[in-house]
Amino acid sequence: MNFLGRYTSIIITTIIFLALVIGVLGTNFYLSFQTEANAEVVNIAGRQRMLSQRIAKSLSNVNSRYQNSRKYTQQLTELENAAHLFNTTLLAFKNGGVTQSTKSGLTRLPPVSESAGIAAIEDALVLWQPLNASIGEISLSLQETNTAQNDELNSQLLSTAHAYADQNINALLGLMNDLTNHSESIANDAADRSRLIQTVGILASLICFTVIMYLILGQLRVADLARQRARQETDQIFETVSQGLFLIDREGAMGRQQSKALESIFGVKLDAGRNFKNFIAPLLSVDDLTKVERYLKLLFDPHKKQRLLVDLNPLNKLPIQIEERGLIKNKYLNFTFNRVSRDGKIIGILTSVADITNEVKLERELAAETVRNEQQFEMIKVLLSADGELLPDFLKSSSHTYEKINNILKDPARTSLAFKKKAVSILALVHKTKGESAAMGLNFISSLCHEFEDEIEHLQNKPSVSGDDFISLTVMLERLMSTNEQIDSLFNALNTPTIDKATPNSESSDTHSSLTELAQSIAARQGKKVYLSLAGLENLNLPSSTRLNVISMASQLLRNALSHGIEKPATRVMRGKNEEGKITLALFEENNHDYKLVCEDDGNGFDFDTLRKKAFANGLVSEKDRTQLKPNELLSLTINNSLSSKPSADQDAGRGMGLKVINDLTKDLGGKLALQTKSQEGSRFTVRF
Amino acid sequence: MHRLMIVDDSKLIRHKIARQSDQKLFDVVCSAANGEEAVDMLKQFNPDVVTMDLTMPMLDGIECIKQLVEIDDTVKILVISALNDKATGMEALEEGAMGFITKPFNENDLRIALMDMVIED
Repeated sequence: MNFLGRYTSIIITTIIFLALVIGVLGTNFYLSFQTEANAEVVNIAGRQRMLSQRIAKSLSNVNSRYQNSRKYTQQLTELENAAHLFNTTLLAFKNGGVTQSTKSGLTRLPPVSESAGIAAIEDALVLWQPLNASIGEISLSLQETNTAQNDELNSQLLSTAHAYADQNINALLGLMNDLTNHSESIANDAADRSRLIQTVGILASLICFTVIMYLILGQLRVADLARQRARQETDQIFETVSQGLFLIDREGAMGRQQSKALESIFGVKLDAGRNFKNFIAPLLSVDDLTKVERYLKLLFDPHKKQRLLVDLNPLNKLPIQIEERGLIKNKYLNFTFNRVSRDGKIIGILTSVADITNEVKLERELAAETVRNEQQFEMIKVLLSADGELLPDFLKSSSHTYEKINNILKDPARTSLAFKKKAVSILALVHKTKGESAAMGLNFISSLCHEFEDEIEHLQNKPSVSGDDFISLTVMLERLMSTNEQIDSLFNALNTPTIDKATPNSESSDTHSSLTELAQSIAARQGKKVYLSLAGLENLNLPSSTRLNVISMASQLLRNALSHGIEKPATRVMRGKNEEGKITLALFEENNHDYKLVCEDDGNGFDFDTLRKKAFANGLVSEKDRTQLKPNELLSLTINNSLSSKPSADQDAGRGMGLKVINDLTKDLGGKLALQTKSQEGSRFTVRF
Repeated sequence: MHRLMIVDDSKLIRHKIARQSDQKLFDVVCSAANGEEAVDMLKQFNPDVVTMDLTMPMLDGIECIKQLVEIDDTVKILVISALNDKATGMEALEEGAMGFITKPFNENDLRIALMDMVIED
C-alpha cells in the first residue's frame, strides 16, 4: 500500500495518458472512415456533373442518328443508363438511399442536410424531372413498331427533349457543380475538424506525458536524495567509527565499503574485492589460516547458531606485527563477525576489527600486578612465619647458587654439546634451589625454579643449541635474582625483634608444618594419600647453614619418596597395602655431633628394570651390559646421569635430578648416603653426617 | 517442551546442566556418561536437543556426534567443552553440531545457549 501511495499520482497520470492515446487513435480510426465516405460523396456528386453532360450528349446522338435513320440502339442504352443513374443518385442525395459506388458495388448516401445542398437538389429536380420524363417517353416510343405516324412522334419527342436539354443542361450542370462544391466543403470541414481533434488529442497526450515525466523525475530525485543522504551518513559513520568495518561475501571477497579506521589498524589500505584469506594470511600461521577458513564456512552455514560460534572465533585477541613509520609495532586485534542476511539468506559477514592492544596490555599488567601482590603477600606471610634465622641463610645460599649459574652462563662454549653440558650443570643448581625454597615454604620461588627447569629441558630436547637459546635462561635467572632482592628488602623492612626472637619451638614446628604442607600438596597434585611421620627435626643444635642443608635434604628426600615411592591408592590396595602410604622422616643425633637423617617409605622400592631401560635408552650402557648391571651400579648411574624412572617431568619429579641433589647435599655436609630398597615394599635412605 | 539429553563423562557436570537448564523449556529425558551410552540413549529416548562433551572415554565427542547425526539428522547438538583447541570444536560443528560453548560456564551462559538452540533464526 505504501508503495502504491508513493506512486499514486504517476499511476493516475499514466492511466489518463493511455486513455488519451486510445481516444486519439480511436477518433483517428473513425475519422479516417468518415473522410473516405465524404470523399465518395464528393466523387458521386462529381459523377452527377459528368452524367448531366453525358445525358445531353447521348440525347443529341440519339436524335441526330434517328433523324439520319442511322442505328441508335447503343446510344439509346447509354442515355437510359445515364438517366437512370443520375435519377437514382439525385433522389439518394435528396432522401438518403443506395446508389452505385464510383468504385464498385453500391453505396449508401446520407440525405443532404445543409440548406445550400438541399436548394441545389430541389432546383435540379425541377429541371431534371421533365427531362427524365421525356427520356422515359422516348425510350418507350422508340421501342414500338416503326410507323409513319410513330416516326413523326418519335422525331418530335426527340426534338423537344433535345431542345429542352440544350436549354437546361448548363443550368443542371451548374447545380450539380454546386452540389459537388457543397459536398467538397462538407468533406473539408470534416477533415479540418478531424485534424483539430487529433491535434488537441496529441497535445493533451504530450501534456500528460510531460506531467508523467515530471512526476517520475521528481520521485527519482527524492529517491536519489534519500540515497545520497544515506550514503553520506554511511560515509560519515565509516569515517569516524574507531573499529575497522567491512563485509566479506560468500566467495570470501572483501567489500568496497570499508571504515577508515581499517587503514590505521593495518597500516595499509585494503583493496576492495580482495580475498580476506589472502589478506590475513601473512599475519597467521598456516594452521590458524585454515581455522579462519573453516570458521568462515561455519558462519555462512545457516544451520549453525551465530551466537554459539563466538567461542570458536580464531581471530580473537590476534597478536600481529605492523610496520608504522618504519617501526615494527606489536598489536592485538579482535575480529568479530556478524551475519548479514537478506530474505532469510546469509549474503555476507560484517566484520569488525578492533585494536585491543591497550586492553590486552592493561589486562596483562593487572595479571602481573596480581601475581606480584600474591607473591609479596606470600613473602610477607613466609617472612612473618618463617625461620627468622634460616631465611638469611637461604637468601645467601640461593644468591650463591645464582652466582654459580651466572658464571656457568658466562662460560664460553662453542659446540652444541658444550652448551648442553652447561644446561645440565645449571639444571642441578636450579633443582637444588627448588628443593630449598619448597622446604622453606617459598612456593613462588619453587614454581619459578620449576619454570626455569622447563626452559632448560626445552633446550636439552632441541637438536642443536646455540648461545642465543640461553637468553631465556638469563631472563629466568634475573627473575630469580630480583625475587631474592625483593625478599631481602622485605625481610629487612620486617626485620623486627619479634622475628629475631622467634622461639626455637616455633621454628621447629614451622619446619615440621612446612614439610607436612609440602607432603600434602605433592600428594594432592599426584592423587596420592600419605601419612608423614616426623621426628627429630626440631631443636636442632646445628649451625644455621648446616640446618638449611638438612632441611633442604629432608624436603628432597620427602619429594623423592612421594613421587617415586608411594603408589597411587588403587595400586596400593591391589598390592594388599593400606590406601594411605607412610613416610617417616627422622633425624637422630648418634654421637656427639654425628647425625643420621633417615627417610623411609612403604612404596614401590627401586624399579631397577625401568632404570636399566632408561640407562640403555640414554646410551649409557650397551644392550649386553644392561641386563648385568647391579643395583649399586645402577644407582650410581642414576645419580651421576640424572636418570628418572618417571616417564615425564612434573612439578615434583621426573627430571632425574632428585638423587643427584641429595648426593650433592650429602657431599656438602661431608656425609655418606646409603640406600636400602626392596621392590614393591619400600626404600630407606640414610644420610650420615 | 524440548527433550534434552546430556552427554558428559563428569557426573558433576551432568547434574549441573540438568539443574541449570530452563525447566519450563527443557525436559531432561536422559544423561549419558560416554559416547556409546549416548548413541544407545538417542535411539531409546529420542531427544531433540543434546549437550555434548568432547573428551570422553569409549567413544569421543566427535565420533559420537557423527553417529548421532547419522541416526537422527534433525537432532540439535550443543557442544560444551573445556577444549582449548578451537580446531576440535570446529570439527564438531563441521560434523553436525549446531553450537559451541566453553567450560566453565555459568547458569546464564547455559540457559542462553540452550535457548538459542531451539529458537528459529
